[in-house]
Amino acid sequence: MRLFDANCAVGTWPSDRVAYETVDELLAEMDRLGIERALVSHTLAQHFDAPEGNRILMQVLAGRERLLPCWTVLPLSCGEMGSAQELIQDLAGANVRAVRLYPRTHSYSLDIWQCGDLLGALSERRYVVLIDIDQTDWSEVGRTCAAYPDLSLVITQLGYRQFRFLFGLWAQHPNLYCDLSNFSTYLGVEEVLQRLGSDRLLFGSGLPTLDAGGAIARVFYTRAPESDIEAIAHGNLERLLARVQMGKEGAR
Amino acid sequence: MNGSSGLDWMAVLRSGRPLSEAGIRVIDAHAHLGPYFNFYIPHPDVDTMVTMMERLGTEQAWICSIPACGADIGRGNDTTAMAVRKYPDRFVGYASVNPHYPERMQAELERSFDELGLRMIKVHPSIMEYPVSGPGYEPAWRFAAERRTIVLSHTWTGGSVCAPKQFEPLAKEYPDVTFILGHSGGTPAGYVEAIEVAQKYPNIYLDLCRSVMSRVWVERIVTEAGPDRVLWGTDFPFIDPIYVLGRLASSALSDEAKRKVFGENAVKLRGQLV
Repeated sequence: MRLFDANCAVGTWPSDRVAYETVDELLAEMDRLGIERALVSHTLAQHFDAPEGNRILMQVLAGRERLLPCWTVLPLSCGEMGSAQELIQDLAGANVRAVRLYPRTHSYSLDIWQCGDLLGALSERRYVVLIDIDQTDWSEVGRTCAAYPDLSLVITQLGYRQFRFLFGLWAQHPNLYCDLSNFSTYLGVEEVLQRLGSDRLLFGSGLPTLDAGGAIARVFYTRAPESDIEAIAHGNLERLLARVQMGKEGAR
Repeated sequence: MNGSSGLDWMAVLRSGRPLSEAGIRVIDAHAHLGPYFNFYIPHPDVDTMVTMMERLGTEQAWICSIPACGADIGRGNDTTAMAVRKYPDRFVGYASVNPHYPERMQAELERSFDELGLRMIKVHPSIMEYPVSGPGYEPAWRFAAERRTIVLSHTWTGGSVCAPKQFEPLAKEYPDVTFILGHSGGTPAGYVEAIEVAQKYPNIYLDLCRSVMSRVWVERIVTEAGPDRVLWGTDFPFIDPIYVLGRLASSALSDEAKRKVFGENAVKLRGQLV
């Protein structure tokens, strides 16, 4: 069974000691755990500067075919990511099919007045957008899913207290997904499979601040048809990335 | 630490088979039972819990029902006892107490132990909003010492009611009581504090019961507190036990340390119960 990790990062971490920092160390950890491929962000894009972190990410991932870049993006209001058109060109130039948002940490709103142009451009290209639940709230998630139905919005690091919110929105928004990095409601995966099927869940480790062993065990200890497990382990993420319509690469 | 010796733990994890089939004894020293007001838990009933235990290869869980943690001590202890009566080999019951009514404590503990068959004590100072060092808990400590039993407490650093350091005077005054510091203090600062307390007092044990924890901390808690002094606990069905299982099984700890934490330490402690 192949594992394709939707949620991991590389780089230094300020608030705790972590299991690895470099790309080589990440690959060693993936080998140890049996993770084949990963969608990777850089911690400097979260904790230092998004454009510079993305630039460093591309440097350290160069030639590492198992690792796919996941940029961290900002609203377009201050011009840090360029215009919408320029950002789409840059993403295409770097072959980036997924982005991360940190509205709380990076001090902005996810609402249309703030992120309408950014999310509109990403939605037009069917991008995958990942966001930790503690970086937003469920009303914001609901409004985003409704306003940008072509985005694939992946909630990461869910926790075990969120199912009432989650099922409220899942019933309405087919473009809402969750990763397994902390999908820790008891029998939560089984509940999703029974109610909604296997399309909404993605394997994600949360490395390096979380432990991949938990999410790996969650995949292999789920009692479900093999096809459902395959979808969660790698198939759903592959499908979402494949539907991204990359923009035309352009010079900046 | 040497994760490469002994069993291929990653192969066991990827098999999805019960750990017991690989010869690993698994005892969940920190478990519950029943629904909780704050969030939705699918199928938190005792029969489904046993099914989950069979899936993972957990031979026994030490439980305190959710209402016994706070909402209604008497009803909760009754609920715990019903589960133990239905599955006497699968469950050992913790009796719970309310420190705001210390005058009722002795009688409730006698009822719980002598009539209901519960064998250990669980306290939750956070839910009760009462410090573990307060006089309201003293009847419970005296009872635990008299019965030479085990006390599991919720612990969390940052509040003033149940930080690991608050157990130092208790461990000193009641050397015949085994204290399990549930969640090992709950935060990285708490883990450090819990390790220090466990190193000082032989009757203090830690558990790995957390919804999230990096393997750096799993390995550090077990290595620094000592592999003989840490228990596997999951909070299940409050939280999915599979994550806690995967976290320990996939760590870089030695085969011997993992086996001790997964169940061998709990077997020894259980053997000391009168």
